[in-house]
Amino acid sequence: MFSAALFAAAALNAADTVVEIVDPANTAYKGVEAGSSLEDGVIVNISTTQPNNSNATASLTVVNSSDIATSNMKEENGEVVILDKNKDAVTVSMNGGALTSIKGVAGASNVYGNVVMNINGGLLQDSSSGVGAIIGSSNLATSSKIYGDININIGNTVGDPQPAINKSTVLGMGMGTLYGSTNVVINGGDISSSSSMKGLCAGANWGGVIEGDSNLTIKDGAISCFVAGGNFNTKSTGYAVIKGSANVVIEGGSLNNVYSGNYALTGATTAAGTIEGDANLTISGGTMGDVRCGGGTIGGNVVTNISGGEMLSVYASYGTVGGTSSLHITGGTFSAIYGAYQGASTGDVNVIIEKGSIKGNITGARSASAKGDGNINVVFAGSGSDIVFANTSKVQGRDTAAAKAGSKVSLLFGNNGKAFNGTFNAEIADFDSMSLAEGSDVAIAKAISGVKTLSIIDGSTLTLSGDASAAFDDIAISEDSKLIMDGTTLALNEGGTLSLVLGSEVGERFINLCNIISFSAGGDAFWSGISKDNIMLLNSDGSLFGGDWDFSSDENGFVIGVNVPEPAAMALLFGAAALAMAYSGKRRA
Amino acid sequence: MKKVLLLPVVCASAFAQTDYVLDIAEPTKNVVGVSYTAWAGKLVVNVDGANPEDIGADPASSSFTVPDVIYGAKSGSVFTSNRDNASGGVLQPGIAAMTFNMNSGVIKSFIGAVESSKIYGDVEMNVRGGLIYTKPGEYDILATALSPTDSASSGVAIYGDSKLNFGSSSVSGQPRIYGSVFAMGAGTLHGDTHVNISGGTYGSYNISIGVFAGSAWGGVINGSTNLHITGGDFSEAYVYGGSFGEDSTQMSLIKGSTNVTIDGGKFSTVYSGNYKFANLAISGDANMTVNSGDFENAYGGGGTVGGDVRTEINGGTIGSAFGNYGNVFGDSVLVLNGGIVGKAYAVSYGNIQGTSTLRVNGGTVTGDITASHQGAAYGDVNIVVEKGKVGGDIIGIRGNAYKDVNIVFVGDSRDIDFKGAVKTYYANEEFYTKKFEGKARLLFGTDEKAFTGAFGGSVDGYGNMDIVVGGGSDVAFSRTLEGISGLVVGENAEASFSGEASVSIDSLTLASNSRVILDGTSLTLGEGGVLSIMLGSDYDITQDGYIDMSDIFTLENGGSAVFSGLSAADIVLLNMDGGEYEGLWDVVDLGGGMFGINVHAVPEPAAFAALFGLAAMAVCARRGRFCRK
Repeated sequence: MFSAALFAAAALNAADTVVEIVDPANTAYKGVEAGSSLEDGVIVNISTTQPNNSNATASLTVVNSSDIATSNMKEENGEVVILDKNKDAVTVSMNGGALTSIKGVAGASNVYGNVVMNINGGLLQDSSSGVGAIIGSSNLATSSKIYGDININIGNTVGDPQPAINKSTVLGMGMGTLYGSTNVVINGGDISSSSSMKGLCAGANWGGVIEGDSNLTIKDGAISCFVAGGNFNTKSTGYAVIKGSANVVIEGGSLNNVYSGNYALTGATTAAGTIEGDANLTISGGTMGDVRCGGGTIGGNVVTNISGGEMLSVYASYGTVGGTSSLHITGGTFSAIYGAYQGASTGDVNVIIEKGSIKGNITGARSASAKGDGNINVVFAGSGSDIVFANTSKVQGRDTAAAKAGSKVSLLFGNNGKAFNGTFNAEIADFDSMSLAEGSDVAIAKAISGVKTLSIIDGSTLTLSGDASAAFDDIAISEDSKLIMDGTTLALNEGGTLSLVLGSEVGERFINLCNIISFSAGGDAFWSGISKDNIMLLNSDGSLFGGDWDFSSDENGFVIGVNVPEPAAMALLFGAAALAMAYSGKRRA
Repeated sequence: MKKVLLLPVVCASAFAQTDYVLDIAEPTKNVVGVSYTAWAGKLVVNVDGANPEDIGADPASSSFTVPDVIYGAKSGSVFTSNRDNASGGVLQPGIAAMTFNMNSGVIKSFIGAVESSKIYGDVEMNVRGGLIYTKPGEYDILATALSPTDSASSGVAIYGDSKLNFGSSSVSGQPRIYGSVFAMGAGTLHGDTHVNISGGTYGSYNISIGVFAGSAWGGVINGSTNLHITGGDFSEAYVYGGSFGEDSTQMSLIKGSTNVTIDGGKFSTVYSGNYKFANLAISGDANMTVNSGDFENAYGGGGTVGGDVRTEINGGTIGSAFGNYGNVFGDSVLVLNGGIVGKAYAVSYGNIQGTSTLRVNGGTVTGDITASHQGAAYGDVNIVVEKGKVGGDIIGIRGNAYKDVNIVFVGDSRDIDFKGAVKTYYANEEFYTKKFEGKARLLFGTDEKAFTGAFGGSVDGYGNMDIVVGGGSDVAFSRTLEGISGLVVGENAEASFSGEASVSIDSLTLASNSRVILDGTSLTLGEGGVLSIMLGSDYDITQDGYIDMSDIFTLENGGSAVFSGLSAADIVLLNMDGGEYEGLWDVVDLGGGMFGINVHAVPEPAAFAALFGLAAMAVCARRGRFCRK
């Protein structure tokens, strides 16, 4: 019933060899016979005439221990030089039929051009041990060399049916060396694996090396297994390496967990591949499970930008990161957001949120497995109305005291010249510091607890109302900023320091703290008991103010006089200040 | 430059993609029609005589091993020659792209299309005989026997209708189905569903998950669902016009309406709407007509209905009939034109935003009728009785109602057989009285149709029920009237009270041309009560006039009207539109408990001011009694 045509390869003139596989049956198909040498490329087309293609028994290995497109290379100084970098040396087009797997290059092959795999339709279903369904090069290609890119396109843009890849692994590259980059594009189709530990990786496996980048773009499709921009984690002589960067772009589709770096088992971030460059991820649409930015070892930075889509938890720094990790969110819906998790980040971890809907918590460092030397900054910028929290959402520095990541975990409102303005509708807990800058105007009515220091600078305003009474070890506020206690209390913990950041103009003047920190009815002045020992004056650049100053306080006010040129003048000034305060007290009485 | 090598050559045989007919005699594993390809022709799957050795087996036996699932399409596109590439729909509607025929034999289940299949035409399933038996967990946890798609196939699209036909007179024996039946599963059906059942036996491991004319597992039906049953035994499977969800998170949607018509059969429970979860939605209406059949329960609606719920019972025997079930954003109407109904409820289990109406136009309700049984009614609840028999009581409140409850009798009393009680509450307990925020009324006649004759029931209003005798109606009360808060006798209406029908009220509203006959009974307006007199349409307000209460009240055989402590402040004179009379009037004590009212013409506006002071002084001086405007 099945009709199959296998065209044996034979080098006749300089032209591509075309192999047609129609209605693949129970056979191990080849594009070229092992040991072949083709001047030009090889093309394999797979199609079907049958209505039922659900029985996958055949496999395809296109190139095995052969040299392909030898006319596209020359040697110079012992190095291979590719003449036409656009040359496709190996091309597979699957439009129908059923196969267990497609492997592009196996054995000790040399491919002098690109490897292209277009999976437009049909079924790929791994019925064996699950080595893989689509692999740029195979697991038996230790010495293979591909002098070009590997381009894998799954799904078609012209209509249905889309391909189905079941119980399988998809790898951009397997063993051997790829001198170019991998480019994996998912336009549609159903992709699933036989277990949660198998999935789709744009990188390599089994110690394979990619000299360029690995690129993964997902436009549509239903992918129920994980996807990773980097390498899979099967060790051969070593784990796979990408010498460039991993770049993942997600525009749509329904996905499971996403790794922008290498796939790594939970809690085993070192038992995975390496990306020597950066791990970059851009998400503008689609629905997905957890988004793990990084994974395995990332030599450079982890950079993630999310402007849309719906996802479960997002981890800004996952695995071992040599540089910094940044997560910039300008849209999307999230169950939870974490800064550092499962690994160690050498540099800082920055989570910057400008828009989005957060159903759960935002946590700087999660659990004891989050380690690292850098700081963790959780930053909010833009309009408060653009950031939607659930009623029970909490923004916390560490979810447990055991979370060691970050020498300092900070919460910042305002970033890089962009203020945060509006109401912040989440509970705040367990940060080393909380800062307002860039002229931010922040209103908080939910509880604040476990925040060690508060800093309000750059003409910013913080209004605390409702449940937002708070106590800090240290408080720093600039002369041009405001803290409004609307029915709430503010406390400086014992031994704490109140720092006043002076404006750029320093002269003879009084600074009345009542003009900076105001209390409405029910609010409570916190400075009773503060002595000069608890107070610091700082210049606008944060350095310690070196001039003379003094202060006077009672239950009604708190005045600091600065930059008095001579003691006599200072005394005069303080006399006036005391008078002014007394007058003020009478008026209130 | 490309070259195709010619040796060795084994050419693929040309295979024209015509209709693909798959005849199944002995299903084994992985029987699939079209998979992982685009098939230009139609697909026909025939099951005839499969597994004949099993046909006589008892499916309920643990030793019974059922054959495997049959799939129509897996990630396949069927009848692509009918695909309209420009519009994304079909070139010619009304053609069956996939047909499943089962005449005999035994299978586990048939699932039309799974994974990302696309069907360019109708899906038709004809089960004329044989046995489809699915045990829980063998195909899925639900034991789906028949469905166009399964639970995981949200990517399936059917560009046509889903047509399910069960039973046939042309084949000996009717089909037996044990498992769930869905007219659509996950994915999108771009047309309607049509489920026609003329016979067969239906059961499910979970009786409440039986036959659904809608979708399941979050499936979307762009059109409407249509379920027509003329026969069959559904005593072990609930029947739904709407959709199913495994839990409260699955959001199945029918964008049109559900239409259920039943002309015969034996049923446990039928819903015109969805399974029990609120996320299962019908954008349009939920309609059901029962002409015949034997039912335990019949529910209007289910899940969420965006439009109205309309249920009409013209025949059959029904244990309990429920006007609405679940959430209804429109109105609900339950009309009983015939048949025998044990109990009838206007509102039950859920929330209704609009008006709920239960009309008895015929037939027999052997037990009680309840306005609000469970759930919450945010609009008025009306029970209208015009013809037929109500063997039990008529109860207003057992569930929650936030507006009014109106119990209305219209027509000729000889057409109504009712000897029970009309009650505001199910029982006089705080639990029930707390559930009602509106007013209960017992009305006789409406603006459209009067009521005439004897009212055979008694009334217990629990202090919250007005009796309203509408314009032109003529009602004779003879049984006890308790807990009545007010009485209204409208224009040209007559209310007669005899026998046990003495009544005590807090408010009394009478049209000037109405009649109240107290035949050996008493009417007592309690201390602090309000008497409102409405000027009839025959009253000329441009002329001075006089209303004699003794013209309204007829006291016979010792009957009495008692207005305890009534003062002018307790009397209101109204126009027929309900507004307060603008002119002057005063009350004349006629003695013997009766009085009259002098009504002065409403003056022209210019003359009014000049006359006002003189007229007021004159009237007060002349009568020396109450004087008020």
